[in-house]
Amino acid sequence: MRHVTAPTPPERDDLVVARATRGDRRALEEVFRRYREPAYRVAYRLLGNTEDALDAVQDGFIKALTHLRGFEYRCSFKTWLLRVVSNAALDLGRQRRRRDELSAAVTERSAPDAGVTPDHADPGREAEENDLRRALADALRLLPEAQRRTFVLHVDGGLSYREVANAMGISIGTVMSRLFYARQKLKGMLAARVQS
Amino acid sequence: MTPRQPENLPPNWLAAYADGELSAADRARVERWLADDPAARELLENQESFAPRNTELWNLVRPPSPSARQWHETFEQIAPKASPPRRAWAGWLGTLGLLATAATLVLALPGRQHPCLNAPPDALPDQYPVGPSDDEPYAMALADEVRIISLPEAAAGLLLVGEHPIGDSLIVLAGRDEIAYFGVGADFAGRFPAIPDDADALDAPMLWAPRDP
Repeated sequence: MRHVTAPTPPERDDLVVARATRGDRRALEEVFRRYREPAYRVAYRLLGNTEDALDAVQDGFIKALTHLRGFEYRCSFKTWLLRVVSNAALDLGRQRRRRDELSAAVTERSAPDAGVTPDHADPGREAEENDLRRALADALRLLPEAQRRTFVLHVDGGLSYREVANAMGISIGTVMSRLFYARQKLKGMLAARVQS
Repeated sequence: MTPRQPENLPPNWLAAYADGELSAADRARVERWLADDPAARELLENQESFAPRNTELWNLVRPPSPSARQWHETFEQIAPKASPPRRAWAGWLGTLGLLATAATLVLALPGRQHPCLNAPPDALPDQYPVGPSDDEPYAMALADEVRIISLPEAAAGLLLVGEHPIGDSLIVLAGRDEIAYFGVGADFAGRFPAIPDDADALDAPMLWAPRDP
């Protein structure tokens, strides 16, 4: 007779985060494993390259975990983390622009990203992906910062309207409005390349 | 037979429709609108193009994955700083800090709170009653967040259309039954309309209400 064991349900976020902040390395690894991907996607979309995005992820995780007293689990840890990571990414982007806007742009355009691209099987497809990713990044840079952040938290962070509202301290209606206008502008800039 | 009234919804609703964020009743309203209005269908197509549900696009532009080494190095930078070491006197300082915080909370005027403590209402707002009297002008909002239902000639003097101090157009008007709000919620204290507290949000609605609805 075969016995089937039900998988252990994942530990609740608040418990594992609390253990992580008390110095439990295994718990910290678990928190990092759960949320590093959405945090990285948000940071990458706001910054445009892997190295800077990882710096923002690093900064965001540290701040999110060491400033938990202001969080108090009134929203999910993921919402709190993505708020802090997106702030860190925008701050880093401003510093980077001040430091050397031109060289950063040239580096991003000319050197392949240090990360592993999602699909190497087809070089033509890979070039198309890189090209489209750059076009999207350029278009996103032209959006007002509040719209860009709202859009990225929703699309790349996977946050619902309510979660984006919580993360940014705005109403759900403002989230809706910013997403609407952001997409209208993106469609205007990328009409020929993106179909519904 | 009574002819069906055309839906007249703000275009922002198409974003929420494309993202599956509307209630069933609101979805039905949007679908009636879409059935009647080709321009709305075009706007919806724009919204759908950049919605998370367009997985073909988002798979194409997925950020390159960091290598295992990069993830490891990032984690190793985080680990020593994620839980600052506590010293023996930290408990006393913590107690003093809590007392100071409590005193501040008692004495402080209502101010900026962390967004996670300032959760907007659950549901997408539809229409709200807007004031205690019919002729008291008191609201300001972005033009795409209000719909003028009626504006008597006598009230025309109350209507201002101009530039928002921080760059957006605004209208100032009106009274009960003359405007309806869309996408505006109560703030954490239950006051309506919400008083925006996001200093970075240049396109946040600018609203003010003299007393609770």
